[in-house]
Amino acid sequence: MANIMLVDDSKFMRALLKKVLAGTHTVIGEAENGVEAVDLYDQLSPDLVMMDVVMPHMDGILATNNIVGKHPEAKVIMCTSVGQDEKVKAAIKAGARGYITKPFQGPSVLKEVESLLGQ
Amino acid sequence: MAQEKVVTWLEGKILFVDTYAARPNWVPCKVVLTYGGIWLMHGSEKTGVPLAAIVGLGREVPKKLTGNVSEYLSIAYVLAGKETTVAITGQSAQLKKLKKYIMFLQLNKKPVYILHPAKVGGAIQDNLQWEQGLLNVVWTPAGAADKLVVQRKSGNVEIPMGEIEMVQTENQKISGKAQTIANIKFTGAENTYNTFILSGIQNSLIEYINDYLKESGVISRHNEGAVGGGGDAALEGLEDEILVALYSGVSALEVPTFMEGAEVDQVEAVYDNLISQGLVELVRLRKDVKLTAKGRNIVNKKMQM
Repeated sequence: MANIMLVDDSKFMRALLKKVLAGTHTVIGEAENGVEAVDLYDQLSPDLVMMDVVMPHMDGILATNNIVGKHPEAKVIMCTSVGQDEKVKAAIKAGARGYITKPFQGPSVLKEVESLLGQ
Repeated sequence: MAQEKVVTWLEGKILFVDTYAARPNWVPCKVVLTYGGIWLMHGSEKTGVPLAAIVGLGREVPKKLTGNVSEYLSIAYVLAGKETTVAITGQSAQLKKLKKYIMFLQLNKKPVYILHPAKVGGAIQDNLQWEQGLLNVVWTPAGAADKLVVQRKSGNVEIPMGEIEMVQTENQKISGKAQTIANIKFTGAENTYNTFILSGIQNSLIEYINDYLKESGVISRHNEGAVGGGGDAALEGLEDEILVALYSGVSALEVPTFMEGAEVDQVEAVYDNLISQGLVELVRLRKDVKLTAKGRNIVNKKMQM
């Protein structure tokens, strides 16, 4: 059971991810934007971060860049929407290691999480 | 137009769209589709439009240019460097048939580039290469098993039309060059897949799939945004959130507790609405009960024992 941090400006999407992860992993923190995510990562050092791409104040790509810059061991999965492939590629360059596309199906999320935690 | 074998035809009226015309001039016309193109026969004139000259199909023409006619099929084509738009009106079924056959001829046996599966369950598949292929549009009786088949060296890719969830255009850099591709999402045996197709017939491919999705009722107000790339904006509202929750695997019975601030009655009203739209189906009715006086009495007696 891994400690996971969720970053999404949509409360609904965070609740949905929490529901999907429940029983398998523990959500230890939630952030609503990239700025909060960077601070929260420093405090919690989670095993994995699930990061939305488009957020106010600081987007997921910049937040990932900041987190991985400070913590090279950080594991970040980007949560993207259909049509954001270019942003996904930018996120890879920023240090993200995995991706899921919204709307997602529970088993696909867990598979991606397990795959990344196994690395 | 060398190949003159007739595919289908209709008798109706046509309008050569003229932005500067005082009023629309619909004229009786016979429209004949052959394997090479379209013949427009009106009065003593006969205009041939090769399939390769068609640059737009089914585009909307401003109402003031068509007069009172709202049901038509527009065809934009370029001949001798000049773009012309003609609107054809006639029986609804014949117009749909004409459009479907034109798209079939434009798409079938055409070379494409394909990236498959570009995504599995939403996860991008790395280390895949674009491959050359040949697109085949397969029609079956009553459309029951219609599909798109792309023949390629590494094996055929079959996309059943009935399993397609959405199609949209995306801009991607391929070999350093900006390209517009068609992103087709469909359900397979165990997962959802996204297949990317790059071709010179992009618009027709997307129009063909979208027409199918509209006919089969897959496109509704809920996912028109997704087809057009609406993104997160399409996920507003309780109905959409409930749909996404169900898609993600949340049990319908858990939704009222999962959706903060949503009352059970409110959620069930949404279910009724979604059922009427054909977006969800009823599996079973849950029973909600409360104790009667007789029941309360028995409980009280049990507690005294």
